[in-house]
Order: sequence, then structure tokens, then C-alpha cells
Amino acid sequence: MNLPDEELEKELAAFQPVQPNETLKQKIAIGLDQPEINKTRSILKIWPIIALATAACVLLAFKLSSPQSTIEAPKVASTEPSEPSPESANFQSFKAEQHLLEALDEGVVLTANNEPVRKLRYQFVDTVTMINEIDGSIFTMEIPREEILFVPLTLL
Amino acid sequence: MASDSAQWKHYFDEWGPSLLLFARQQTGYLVDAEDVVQEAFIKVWKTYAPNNPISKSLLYSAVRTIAIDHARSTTRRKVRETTIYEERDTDSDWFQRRLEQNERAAMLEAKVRNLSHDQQEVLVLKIWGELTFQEISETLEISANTAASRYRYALEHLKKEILPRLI
Repeated sequence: MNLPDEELEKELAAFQPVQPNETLKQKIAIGLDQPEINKTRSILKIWPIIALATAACVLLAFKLSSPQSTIEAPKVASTEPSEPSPESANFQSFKAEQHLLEALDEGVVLTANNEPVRKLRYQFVDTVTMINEIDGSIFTMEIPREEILFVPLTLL
Repeated sequence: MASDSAQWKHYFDEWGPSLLLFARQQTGYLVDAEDVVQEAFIKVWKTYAPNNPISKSLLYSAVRTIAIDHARSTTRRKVRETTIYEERDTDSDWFQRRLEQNERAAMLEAKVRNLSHDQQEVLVLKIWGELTFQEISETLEISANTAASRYRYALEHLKKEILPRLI
């Protein structure tokens, strides 16, 4: 015995979906009543991230364009003994370089706020060379460094 | 503004139950479904309502998109995975209880909830969403023919499972 489609459809249509509760309606009302505030808040919330990411990108682009650019040597005063030995006192910074070893695009990840960002990892070795002004001896140290940049993405 | 408020409530009263049903079908959880409906309704209303008529298929599309986004959300997944006990939306009712509800109706409802996801979503949109196959195809991003065939399969499946009504 075959049941006609129309009869089955009629039977199904007799089922009434459960009504949404009043809380859901109130939440929607609140959401609809505060359109501009939410928008402003969201912009304010992401503005520092956008500004930082832009600055990081500009800096990165500059660095990538000159991978062995000479920069001012970092001050190491805090690591020096309070009364330096005569030999160490004669060392002066000669040059400082940074070498980009690797740039990795680790893809799109989600932040704690569920905002998609592109994760970029850069590995550098910073080389600081110091020279003794008296005997001309050279002291070189290499410092590995890693930078991780998160660039916000806009979903269209 | 007051008229706007009355307008959205009118739409919500009319379409809210079937939107929530579709969201429950998509997410599997009542709590998630409520979040999805809330987000979808606000988003669509703010984007289109001031100057354009709101269509049902637009709301259903928004519900589906947001439900997919929610499912992909890492945070929500983690919360779900770490929850000691969270019952999937199988025991709470999809439909209002009727006084005259008989064994057959209960069985039919259970069979609807046991349909495959693809057949179930087309059935929900067609029967309770009252969308055309063209609107369903736009909502689910499938062809109208596919929507129609899934609907037919869903009905055939249900017919096999239940006995014809005795008049």
C-alpha cells in the first residue's frame, strides 16, 4: 500500500516547530537597538592590531629590502661589570648586522577572539662586532632571534 | 524606529520557529542554534532591512553560513571537546507537543530526525521553511534538481518507514 506524497507532506506540515524562547527575542532586540555602538566598538577593538600590523609590515618590507643592513650596535652597558677591566673598557662597537635566515608563512590561524590572521615567522641572526682600540683585537657575538608577525585578514 | 521594531518582531514571530528549527538541524545543538539565529537575524536585518524587503531564503542562507562558521570555530570546538557532558540535540523537542499526538506522529517525527543530513535540511526548508526548490537551491548552493531529488528521497525514505494512515 503506497502513501501519496501529498498526504505525507500534509502530515509533516502538521508538526509545528518549537517557538524560540523570549530570551532569544530579547537578545535580538538588544542587538538591533545598538547597531552603531557595536560597530564603533569593533573598530576600536581592532584598530591597535591594524596599526601594529601595518607598522610591522612596513618595517619588515624595509628589512627584507636590505637583509644585511648595518644598524647601530645595541648598548650592552647593563651586562657589563660595575668596574670593567681595562681590556673590556677598550672594546668599542664596530658594526652590527642582522641576517635573515628564513621566512616562513605558517598560514591562517585564529586568535583567541576568533579573528583570522596570517602567521609569519622570521628567523634572524644578529651579529655584533666590537674592536679593541688598543690592540685591534676583534670580538664578535651572534644572537639568534625569531619574530612572529600576525597580519589581520579581512573576510569578504 | 518604533515601526521598525514592530516590523522585525512581526518577521521574527512568523519565521522564528522555522529558522530555529533549521539552525538546530544545521548545528545539532539548541544553544548553538539560538546563537546562530540571533546572529543571522541581526546581520540580515541591519544589512538589508532599512531599504529592502527581507526574504526568507536570505535569512536561511545567513543561518546556514553562520552555522558553518560556528562549526569551524576553534574556540567553540574546544569548549565542546572539554565539556564533560553535553547532550546532542536529540532529546529536546524539535516540534511542539500536540495533545492528540499519537504513536504514528511520534514515530514520524523520530524518522525525520533520523534522515541523512542532506535529505533532512531539504525537507526542513521545504516543509517548515516553505521555500521553493529554487530558493532551497540558492540557500544550500546546490542545483534545484538536486534539491528536488533529495526531497523525493527523503519522502520515499519516510514512506518506507511508516505505515500509511488508516482513514
